[in-house]
This record gives sequence, structure tokens and C-alpha cells, in this order.
Amino acid sequence: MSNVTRRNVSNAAKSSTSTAAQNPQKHEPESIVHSKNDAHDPTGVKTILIVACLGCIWLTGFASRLFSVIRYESIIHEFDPWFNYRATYHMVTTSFYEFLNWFDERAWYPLGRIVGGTVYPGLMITSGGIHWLLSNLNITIHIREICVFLAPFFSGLTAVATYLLTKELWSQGAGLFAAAFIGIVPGYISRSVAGSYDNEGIAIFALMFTYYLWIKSVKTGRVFWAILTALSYFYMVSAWGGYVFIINLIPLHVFVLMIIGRYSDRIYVAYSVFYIIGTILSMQIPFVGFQPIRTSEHMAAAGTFALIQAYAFLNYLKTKLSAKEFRTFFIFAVTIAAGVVFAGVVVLTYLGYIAPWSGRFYSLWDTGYAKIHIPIITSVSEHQPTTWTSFFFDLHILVCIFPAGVWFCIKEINDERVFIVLYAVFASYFAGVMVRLILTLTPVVCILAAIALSKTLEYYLFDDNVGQDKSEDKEPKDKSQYDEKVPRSFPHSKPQQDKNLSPNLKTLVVIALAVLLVLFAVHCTWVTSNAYSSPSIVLATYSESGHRQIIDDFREAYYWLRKNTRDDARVMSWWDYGYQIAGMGNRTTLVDNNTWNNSHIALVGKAMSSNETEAYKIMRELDVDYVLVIFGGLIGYSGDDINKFLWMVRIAEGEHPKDIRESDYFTEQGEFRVDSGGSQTLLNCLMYKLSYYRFGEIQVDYRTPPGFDRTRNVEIGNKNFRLEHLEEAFTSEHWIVRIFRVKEPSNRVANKDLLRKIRRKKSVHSKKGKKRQGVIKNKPVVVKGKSAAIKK
Amino acid sequence: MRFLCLIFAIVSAIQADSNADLVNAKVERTIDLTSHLVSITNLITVENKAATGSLKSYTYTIEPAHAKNVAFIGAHSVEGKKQKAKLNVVEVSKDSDKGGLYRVDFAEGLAAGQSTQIQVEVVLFSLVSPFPEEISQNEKQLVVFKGNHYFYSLYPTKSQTTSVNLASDLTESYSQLKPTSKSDSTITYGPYENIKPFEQSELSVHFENNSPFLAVTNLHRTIEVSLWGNIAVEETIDMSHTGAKLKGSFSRFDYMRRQGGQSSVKSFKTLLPSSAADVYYRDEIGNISTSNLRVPSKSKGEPVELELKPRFPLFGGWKTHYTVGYNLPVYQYIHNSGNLSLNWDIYFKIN
Repeated sequence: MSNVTRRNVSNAAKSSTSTAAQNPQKHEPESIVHSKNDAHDPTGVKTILIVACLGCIWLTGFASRLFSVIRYESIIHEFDPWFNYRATYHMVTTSFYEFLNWFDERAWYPLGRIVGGTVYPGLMITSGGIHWLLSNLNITIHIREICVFLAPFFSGLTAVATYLLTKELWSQGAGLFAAAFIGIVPGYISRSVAGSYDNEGIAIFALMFTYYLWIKSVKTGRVFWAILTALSYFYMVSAWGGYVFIINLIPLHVFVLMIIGRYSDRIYVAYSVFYIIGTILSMQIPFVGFQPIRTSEHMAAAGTFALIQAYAFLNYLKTKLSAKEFRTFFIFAVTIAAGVVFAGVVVLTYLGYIAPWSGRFYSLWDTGYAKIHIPIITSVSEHQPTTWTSFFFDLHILVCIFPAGVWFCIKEINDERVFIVLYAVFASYFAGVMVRLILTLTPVVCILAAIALSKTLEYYLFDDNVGQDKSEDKEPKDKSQYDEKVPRSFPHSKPQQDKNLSPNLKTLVVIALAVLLVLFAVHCTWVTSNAYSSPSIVLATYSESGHRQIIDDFREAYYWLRKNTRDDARVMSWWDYGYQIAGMGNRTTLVDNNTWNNSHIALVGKAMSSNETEAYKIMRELDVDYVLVIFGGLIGYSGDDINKFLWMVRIAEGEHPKDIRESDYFTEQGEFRVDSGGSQTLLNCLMYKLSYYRFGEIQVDYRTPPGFDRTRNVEIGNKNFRLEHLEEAFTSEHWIVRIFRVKEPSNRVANKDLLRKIRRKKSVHSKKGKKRQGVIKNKPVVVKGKSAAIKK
Repeated sequence: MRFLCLIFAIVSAIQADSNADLVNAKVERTIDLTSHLVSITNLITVENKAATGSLKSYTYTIEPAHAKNVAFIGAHSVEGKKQKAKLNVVEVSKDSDKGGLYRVDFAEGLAAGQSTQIQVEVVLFSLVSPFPEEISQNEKQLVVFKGNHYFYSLYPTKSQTTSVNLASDLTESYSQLKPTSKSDSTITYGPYENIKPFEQSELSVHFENNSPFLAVTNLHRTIEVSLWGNIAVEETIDMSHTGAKLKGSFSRFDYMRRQGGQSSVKSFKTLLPSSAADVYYRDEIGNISTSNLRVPSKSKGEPVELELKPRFPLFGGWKTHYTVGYNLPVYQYIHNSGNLSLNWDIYFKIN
């Protein structure tokens, strides 16, 4: 923390001098006031206070993410984190190079997966590094604990980075607000609770820190900051695929600055250094490789780089040429340059040197694209378009306040505020397209809301009778006490309308804002506690007596797989559970959450949606030993495979349109139903049979008939069927996980009564008419016996 | 240690010779087959036929085929029907050719012409084997036990009876060596008269036994003594059900209706030292949420009873693996006698 302290002070001092010195004409007088205000700290009390605030924010952020650990246990959550944990564990137990060269033969059977080259290793390296450091300090801690607590720990770092960024953009007070907001805002907590060991947990920190350093380098125009930006960007690239957001937003910032005539040498230095070093560094990540120079997502950065070089060259010419000559030359040159760059990119794309945009990026612009072309993207719930409620749910009042922040920034625009405005605009758009991208919107909403709130409070908290300094913290009482000890005297630009407002009215507004903030904090806690703190592999229900009951079916079944199947057994399941089976069950899977091979997934989807005989053929081809399905009908767990089933059908139809048709699974009225009115194709497909095997015999409740599905609230349509090629191997306590064993092909049946009932034809000589090449007399005809496998 | 054994061997050889005058006047043997362990209780009346001199010990013998399967052996002297003093039992040899030899020291020397009663308890493991070896979920588990009709001894036996307690009264078959009788779940063999030393005749019982065959295949215990005042104990246990293997499918539906699967392991208990605290029960993928801890009152010094339920019921042939750990205060277990020494009764009990 002491490091942070020192940096804060020096930064504040530097920024004030540099901004004041370098372009005084561009700054509103008030922002200079801010800077001076920030720097003015003779006793250091203010710094201590800021550090204390940030420490409290860190602690609060950390603590509020621990709901799941306290309620359940220290456990890795959900799906992707299980892979990350498995990879980290592999790296820690072997070596870093072993991890980079890791070929995982337990995934995507029979293809396998080159993990080292298809993963963003930043997360694993971070937690592995922490583990290494701690074990060298003789603090023995299991890597799992580090993985579980990494995201909450990084949320504190994110808060600090957000503070720094906001401080650069506006003021320290706004910075503290922003840090407090990002510490507890549900939009970020959703991805960073303890146990949610995913890339986003550390990537948001990297994102905010990169932006902070970028703003810093734009402000100072120093190579030092630009290189730091590139290094931070490198960390971001190693951590998350969302780095593309940075490499498009920063060039956009530069581009817009050039367009609105705010180009300066500082920007030239900052961007040129950042782009060159950042690109070279990012290419060191195996998974990224040559993408920065070969894919369309990165072309905007390259184009802007070319443009800023041209612009700088023109600026240089401007000093040499007369104004009129220059104007003609300028228009001509810019048109030519832009045309050449654009044409070049198009041609290179066409020729295949630059990869066109990937499907996920198309779906960002055209929301209907994925639905038609890539059902697998749409099938993920977090890729759905965002609803209005989820904005409010995740951001609460911040989403209402932040436009005000945008307006304040535009009103008092400068180089760095252009950046935050652009960030706000684009992040808002992306967040509207995909639920998942609310995550990237959250920080900017926090920053801008903090700016708006800080500005408002500055105005309303200002007590003109006493002539005291404006408060910069959210606890006005502490501030005023402190402020009394250190009286300030600086020219504040007191707006004229101050006098029109009575102190009572001001107090009223401040109280209203405080109430809003309290409501916000309450909402954040509530959302975190109720929505985002379930590990989702352990469920809890409350019985009527209020007694808490743990439903641990997933681990029960995965552990059964781990201990009681052959080590090389292959488990077929829908891709959602691939990482969990590998992580907890330690068995080979066919498809998993790294959905890189659509046709393989479609094949599994086809097996699940075919009837048993057809599915058996596919399963034999794929060497499947076990089939795992998730079934929630007994206890009413809604996230089960029957509810996901239509996606399997759709994905299968995409690759095998002749065999699988989505319409077959609906009734004639276009309904998807599993009761007796459902389509026959659905009632006889493998997924249905595996889910409901022997479910028709069970009666859960007196009021319902046997075989009553509590998830879909219907009595199932096809009861009392037998399985021919599979047998139940394991079913968990509440039937959530059902595992079936694929039988070996049955022998020819030795049924004495039925086999070899040889009928001999009467030996009739007939040579009449038919041209026969030769006939064996009395040829025995075998009447095939019935298969012994039970058929009803 | 090996040297010591050697001495014992020599001594016992001498004693065995000198004890040649002993006779098993009357032997009442009870073979308990209600669980997967064989627990044999022998009530032996020993007579010293020698003319002079008193004898100090009795050599108890175990059939060569069972010599490797001894889990426990203990002896008491008996007066009337009551158990008296515990007798010292020393292992002499565990040779699979000669059989297991154990020297039981009498409380007082057995004078010439006198007789005394001793009770020897033996627990043998993995002698009850499932037959058939694979059963489906709804079938009952049948097991076979093979033993000896006669009391296997170094000494001649005058009169001997054997009663075999079974887990149920359903038997497929049992060997007949007259006189043999069966009532309910008990088979009585004998009395047999005048049996020579080392006489053997195969006793075999094939009967229904649905008790869970729980076996710990590997136990790894780590004891971490911290001089800050804590002893951390962690036991990692590989466990399997060694009964008849489950053939075909496992149906949760039948299991829920309690049809079949009687021999499966649903839960078991383990005992921890009375001062055990901070008990945890977990495995590679996290906490196992199904366990109960019964803490007794501290003063009585009763062990802490931990009821463990595996993640899934264990059927025949199924395995599981878990870790139980707990903390103990140092002061109860570490004594300062010049050097610090850890005084620890290593015991492990599962039932």
C-alpha cells in the first residue's frame, strides 16, 4: 500500500504541473483547480485518508465476494473455472513448459486439445506465480485456495486501478467514488466472486490499469508511460480475449482526437510506442500468435498507426509549406492515404492474408447473425441480448447517473475525457448486444457515475457561509472535520446560482443522494448474496422447516466416475459438462466448453437427438463408454438437458440437416412438450429415454401421477420403456446426474427354441422357365431368432 | 527386533517340546460369521498331563491356510463363565507352512495334573468370500467360508464342539461331519472326541450374508506436530467394498425403494480421540457434505464418533477415497522425558 501512496502523490503533482504547463489553453479553469486541489497536501493527511479509504474499499470488495465460501465451501464454481483450475493444477504440479506444451488427450476424444496453444495463460501464470511466491515464503497453501480467492483479491486491485484512472480523468474524490462503486457493483461481482476462477477476474484489473496508463501517457506524452501501457496491455492479452476491446478503443481514441483537431506530439509518441511494443508483445502469446497482423479485429489499430504516421508527416510538411499549398496537398494526401489503406485491407482480406471477422464479432454488429449461422454461440445464455432489467439489476442507480457523467465530461472536454466518452458509447452498445459484455460496461459506468456524483456533491456540499473546501469523499462528516484542521485558500470558481439555493435545499439534495447511495449498497449486497454467490455445482434448498439441505448430486456422480470407471473411460455428455467431467471426474470427454469444433459437437447433438439404435451407431463410432445426462425432473432443477435439448437439435441440424430436423421435435402446433402430446420423435430420442428411464414408475407426490416431471410440470408421455443398448450405471441421489453405460454389442442369441428352426423345402426339381445359374437343393433357410434383448 | 524374534522362536521351540504333555481336555469353539470378518472364540480347558513340573505357557496354533489372515488375537483366563485376567499373547511364527504359532502365557504356572480354562479370541479377515462373485442389484449376497471342523492344535484334543453363527438362517449348503445340527442361524458341529494334533477336515458353509464388506485398501496417516500447541492428524483412506461385485446396472429407483442393494455401504462410523477438534471430511473435489459428528462429554474421555457417508453408496466392487483430518492439543500427547516424546495409541476403527 505504501507504494500506491507514493505513486498517488507524485502522479498528482506531476499531472497538475504537466497539464498546466503543456496546454493551458485547453483546460477549463475549474479543472486546473481540481489538479491543484489534488496536489495541495502539505501534511500528507489527505494521502493517508485516501489510502485508508482504498484499503476499506479493498476489504469491502473482498469480503462481499465471500458469500459462497461462507455458505458452501472454498470450491471452484460453474464450468469454465474448472478448466482453468485443472490447467493451473497441471502447471503447478508439473512445470511451466510442461503446461505450454500440454496436449490434453482427455478432451475432445479422439481429437485431443493442444491446451498450451489454445488458452490465455495469464490467469494460470498469475495464480501459479502467487503459489510459487507463497511456497517460497514457506506459506504452504493449496493451489485451489489461491484459485478460489484470486478474483476477490484482484477486485481490490481493480478498485485501485479505477481510482487512478478516475483521478486522471477528473479528481481524487471522483476516484474514490469510482473505486467504491467498482468494489461492490454487481456487474463486476458477477464475474469475480470467490471461486469464480475465470479470465475476467483478472482481466478487468488489467483493462482498467491499461487505460489508466494510456491516459497517463496521453497526458504526459512520455515514452516511459507508453511502454508501461504496452506492458500492461501485454498482461491483458495474456489474460483475456477481451483485449481486442483495448486494441480497438485506443486507436479509436487517437483517431477521434485527430479528427476533432486535438492531435499533438504527445499522442503521436504515446500511440506509436504503444502500438509497436504492444503488438510485438501480444504476439508472444501462443494463442494470439500472428492474429494482430492478420485478422480484421486488429486492422483498425494498424490503420490508425499508419494514419498517425501520415498525419505527423503532414504536420512536419506544414512547417515547410505555405498554408494554401498545404491545404490542397492535405486534402489530396488524406484522401489517397485513407483510400489506399482501406483498399489494402479489403484486398488482403480477399486474398486471405487477413482473416475476416470471426463469427462472434459479426454477431456484435448484426444481432441476428449468430442465430442463423452459428447456433452454438446463441445457445450460450450469456451471449443473449441484454434486457433492460439486467442493466438495472447489475448497475442499479449508476446506470441512471452515468449519462450525467458523460455530459459533464463532454462539457469540460479534454484529451482524456474524449477517451472515456468513447469508451462509454461503445461499451454501452456492446453491453446491449450481449449480456456478458455488461462486464466491460461496468467500469466506465462506475467512473462516469462517480464523476457525476462527485461534481454534484461538490456543488451541493459546498458551504458558502464557512467558505470551506469542497468535500471529496462520500463521508462528508469525516471530511469536514479534517478540513477544519487544514484550511484552504484558493480561488474557487463559485457559480453564480449558488446564491439562489438555500442551505436547507442543499442539505436536502445531499441527503437524497446519500439515501440513493445507501440503497445502491443494499441492492449490491442483496444481488451478490442472492444471484451471484451460488457455486452452481452445489445446490441448496430450504425445507419447509427452514432446514438447509445441500444437494450435492454433481459431485456425487463425478466422483463416482472418477473412482469407479476405467481410467481411460470416455464419457459422452452435452458440452456444458465437459470441463466439469474432466475437472472433477478426471475422465475423457468428447466435447467440452471450449467449443472449437462445431461438427464434433453436432455429432454428439445428433446422437442425443436420434433414436436409440441410430445413437448407438454413433456412440460405437466414437468409442463412447458412458453417457451422462443432467435431469432435473425429480426435484425441479431447471437447468437440465431436456431444457437445453432444442439447442442440441439445432446444432445437430446445422451439420446433419438430412437426419435431424428441428420441426420433428415439435408438435403440430409448434409446441415443445414432453407429455403424451409431444412429438413421437422427441419421445423416442436418446436424450428423452436417458432422462426419463424408469422415471415413469416413480411417484413423488400423492397429488401427482407417477412420472410427473416437476421441472416442466407435466406427466411424461413415454413411460415404461426399456433401453436396448445402454444400461443405467449410476444415478445420483436426486437424479440430477444420470450416467449410462454403453453395452458391448450383444452376442448372437443362444435361444434353443428359436434359433435354427430349419425349414426344409420340399425337394422339388423344377427347371422350368427360370434361368438359374445353379441351385443347391434342400438349401436350409435360417429363420432368425428374436433377439434376447428384451423388447416389449 | 529380528534378533528378539529369533530368541522367541528358539525359546518357544523348547517350550513347545516341553509342553508336549498338555492336552486340550475340552474345547468349545464359536465361529462368528455375521460380518465379513471371522471371529473365533475358543474356550479351551487345558490339562497338564505331565507327572511333574509346572508349565508356563500354551501354544495356540492357526491353520497354515489362515496364518496370513490374522487381524487380532487375544486371550483371557476364564473361571466358571467369567473372563478373568487378560493373558499375554506372543506371536511365535506366522509361517504359512507350519501355521501361525502364538504363545499364550498362563497367569500362573500350570502344575502337573492340574487343568485351567483359557479363552482365545481370534479375528481373521478376508476368509469369507462372496460366491457367486458377481451379483445384480436385486440379488442377495451369498458367501462361502472354509475352515476346519476340528480344533487345530499342537496338542491332542479330547473333546470338542464347534458352533457356527451365521448372518442369516438361509444357507445354500454346509459341510456335514456327523454329528451336525442346524437350528436357525447356528450350525453346531460335534462333539468330536480324541482328535490328534494338526488334524484337519474342511468345514465349508455357503450362506447368505448381506453385511457390507468394507475394506480399507490403503491408509495414509500424516501427523504434523507443531510445538505451537497443535497436532494435526490427517488420514487419507482408500476404501472399497470387497463383497460380491455389482453386475449390470445400478438402479437408483430400486435403491430408493429399498429393493436390493442390502449389502451396499450407506454410511459407517469412525472413532477419533476424545479431544479431536476441527474435524474435516473431504476428498479431491471438496467437502463431502454428508457427515455427522457426535461429540461426547469431555470429562468421560469417550472417543468422538464420526459418522461418515460416502458421496455415493458403495456397492460391491466400488471404490471411494476420502480424507479425514482433525486437530489435537499437544499437551495430552507429548511428554517431556528428557527428550520430547509423542505418545500415541495408533488406532483406527471403522464400523
